[in-house]
Amino acid sequence: MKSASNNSKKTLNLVSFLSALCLFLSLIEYIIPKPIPFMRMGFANFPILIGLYLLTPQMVFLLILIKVLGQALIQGTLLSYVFLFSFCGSFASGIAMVLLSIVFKKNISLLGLSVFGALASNAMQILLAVYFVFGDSGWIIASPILIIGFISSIILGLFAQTFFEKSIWIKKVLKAD
Amino acid sequence: MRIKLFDYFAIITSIAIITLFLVFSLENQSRKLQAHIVSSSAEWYYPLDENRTINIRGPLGTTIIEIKDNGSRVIDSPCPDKICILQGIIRESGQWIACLPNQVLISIKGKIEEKIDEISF
Repeated sequence: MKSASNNSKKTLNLVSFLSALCLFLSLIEYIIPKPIPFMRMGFANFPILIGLYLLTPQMVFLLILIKVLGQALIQGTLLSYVFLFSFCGSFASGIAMVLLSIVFKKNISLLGLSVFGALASNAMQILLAVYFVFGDSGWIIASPILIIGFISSIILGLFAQTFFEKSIWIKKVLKAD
Repeated sequence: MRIKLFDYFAIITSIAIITLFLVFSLENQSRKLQAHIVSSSAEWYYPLDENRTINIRGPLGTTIIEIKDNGSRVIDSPCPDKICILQGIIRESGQWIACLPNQVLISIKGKIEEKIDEISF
């Protein structure tokens, strides 16, 4: 640990960079046509997974907040119920991932965290859909969303873990601490 | 990379929860259609595949509802403008008939396919 001011500047840089990466990846994701409106591959969660290992829990939540707000601004959904879905889903997954990474420490990798995060986010969104917006018809979308989310979270988790282990940039960031 | 112990745990838990959701949603889907009737004082559910005539008491008098051939309609109502009768027969989940003057609401519940007109994202 270096001096506090130096350290906080570095954290700030890192959060800004990861946030920007989130928004960039959301845009890339937006290009891909979706057969189901709610379905997303979740690339935009890659910086959050990386952030779990590089940032403090507070900073992870800040990152998630910026991601959610940024995505809503880009997609124009800030004032619609879609924003409520995305907000609650992202924070459910954030809380789940942060807690699990603290509880299981070295016994869980980004793969497991990604799978749990996707599950928390999707389950939250389905519950919201059923109880607040669509009523019982929300159940139609439940199974496909969970299954697709599960598969994409495995791919994303494997990628994030491999990236974390191999990336020169990550090594530099860790060394700088 | 090495897959860790709790990674397997995460995957197994996920599969278990997804299976639960699948079972639950399939169960929901197979539910029969029902007519849900709400009056100013009570509410009732009637299966849509049994023919019957129901008299509902409201503030103006008796609204007569008929359930026939998997559909439901109002056949007589004491209200002044008879909009509820003009609404005709409802058959699909999510459809409804309201009689505001006599405070009667009939809606079809059950199968989950309530149709959404359009979604834009």
